[in-house]
Amino acid sequence: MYTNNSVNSELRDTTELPDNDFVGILFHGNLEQSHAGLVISFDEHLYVFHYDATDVILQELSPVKYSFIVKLLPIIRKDEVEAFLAHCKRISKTAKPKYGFFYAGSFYNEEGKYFSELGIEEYMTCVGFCINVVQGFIEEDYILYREWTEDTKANADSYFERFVEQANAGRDDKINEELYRKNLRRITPAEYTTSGFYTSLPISKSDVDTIVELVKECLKQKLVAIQATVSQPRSDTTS
Amino acid sequence: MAKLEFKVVRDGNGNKVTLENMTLAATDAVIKLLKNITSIVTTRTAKDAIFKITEGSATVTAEAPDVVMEKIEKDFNDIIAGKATDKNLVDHWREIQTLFKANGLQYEASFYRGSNRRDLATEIKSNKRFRTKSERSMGTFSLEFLSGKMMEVGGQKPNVHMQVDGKEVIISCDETEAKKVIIFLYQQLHLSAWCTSKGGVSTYELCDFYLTSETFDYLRGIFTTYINSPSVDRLEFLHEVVYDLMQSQDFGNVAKLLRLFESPIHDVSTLRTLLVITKGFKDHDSIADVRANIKTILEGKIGSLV
Repeated sequence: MYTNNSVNSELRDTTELPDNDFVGILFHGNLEQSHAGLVISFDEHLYVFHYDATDVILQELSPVKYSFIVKLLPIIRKDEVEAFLAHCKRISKTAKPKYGFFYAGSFYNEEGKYFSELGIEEYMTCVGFCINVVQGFIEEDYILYREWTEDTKANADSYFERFVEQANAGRDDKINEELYRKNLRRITPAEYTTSGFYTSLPISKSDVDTIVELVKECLKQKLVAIQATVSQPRSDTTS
Repeated sequence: MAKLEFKVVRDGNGNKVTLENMTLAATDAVIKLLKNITSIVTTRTAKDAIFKITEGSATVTAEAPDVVMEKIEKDFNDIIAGKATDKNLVDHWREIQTLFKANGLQYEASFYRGSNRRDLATEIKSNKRFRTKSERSMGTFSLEFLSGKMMEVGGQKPNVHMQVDGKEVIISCDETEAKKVIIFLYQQLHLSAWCTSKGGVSTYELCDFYLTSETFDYLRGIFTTYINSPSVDRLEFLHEVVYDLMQSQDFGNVAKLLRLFESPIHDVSTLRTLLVITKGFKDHDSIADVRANIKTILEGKIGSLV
């Protein structure tokens, strides 16, 4: 059972990061406008790997100058971090995501390229990007994504209409609207951060729902505490 | 008696720290210094040490016999040199280092032996963050590439006898492997073998054998580059090699390369990387078995992957 205290102790600001190698989920912004990414600490270097809605960025950071919250990702062990960093480096050279609220079990494959069995193009959010990266690294499924229905996206109808129009602009082969509509979903940065509390895969939405409000409350407290800080990493505000 | 001593000299406002008048930060620092000095010293002695908190700045001291303090100083030297393997001990020194490196308070740290004082503060502050020595080495196990004339094969406990650089090397194998390599009797044989060294004696177990010297040289070259590359680079290198082979549909060589990693002597990150690289082809006839074995080996090291 998670309590306010136990959740709080697992959400770390950049001054509370452990010294050893780890992979973590990065949460940045505030609860209304937030951003998610991955943090990799390897051999005394701290990297952030994220999709800022325009570019895929793998950058080394000094934790002193940045403020964000990290939930360590327990499914990636300390001695696998080197392999995870190599995986991210490979992806950073080839990934070309476009912004869109879709996810359907895709992942970044051995070439560092996006692979979707269903044929969904490389549309994703910042959270979708993180899931694609992690999904390419592990053997099992990370989340039961189908449990996030299109109801998770506010104003789904108008968003989808605009999306189809933009996606089809300037191309002859129109996108398969039914396929995209079926996979329209939004997994929020707070939900993704919450997924980091689970070690048993795949993670279900009901798992996440159990503690997401508690996690949000703790994120809020943490964010207030680090509010007054310094420069921030590049991020979008839509996620 | 020799001494290890830490002092909190000045607080964040530049004022001298005294035990009667400490800021919250200085109090916290004294507590941490005390906690870590006791842990550091008790790593080496449980009964011979005396601990003190004294005035004259806020001073935390551990006294112990010279022989004990020598060991403690040697532990510290190992940490400075990046050679320490005791994780707990490194954690304690690192916590002190974190205090010293943080802005605000000013510290002193010293080893005293007789009238000799060694100033540690500069060493602690200027050194990069203390870490345990990486234990990524393959220890007494290795993978070796051997090439030579095969003189004998078979036996109740099957093995292969080879002349390698004028010396006889015996490589154990199973019956199926013995039947396969028998065609090379009295001819040049190229193989890779797991080598275990104990007390100066090496024993060999067959990993794989190669029909041509080209394949042998190719795989030996790749493995050598992998072993000699720095971390992360070595994995990116493997990634590129396997990717290129798969692009050219050369799954035979992918399988041969994977076989070099079919052993728990390899580290978790390498095994995981090979699984990631070959994920899209996990059911391919040529590599399905060896990939499944690598997965089992990785699971043996870190627990089930399902």
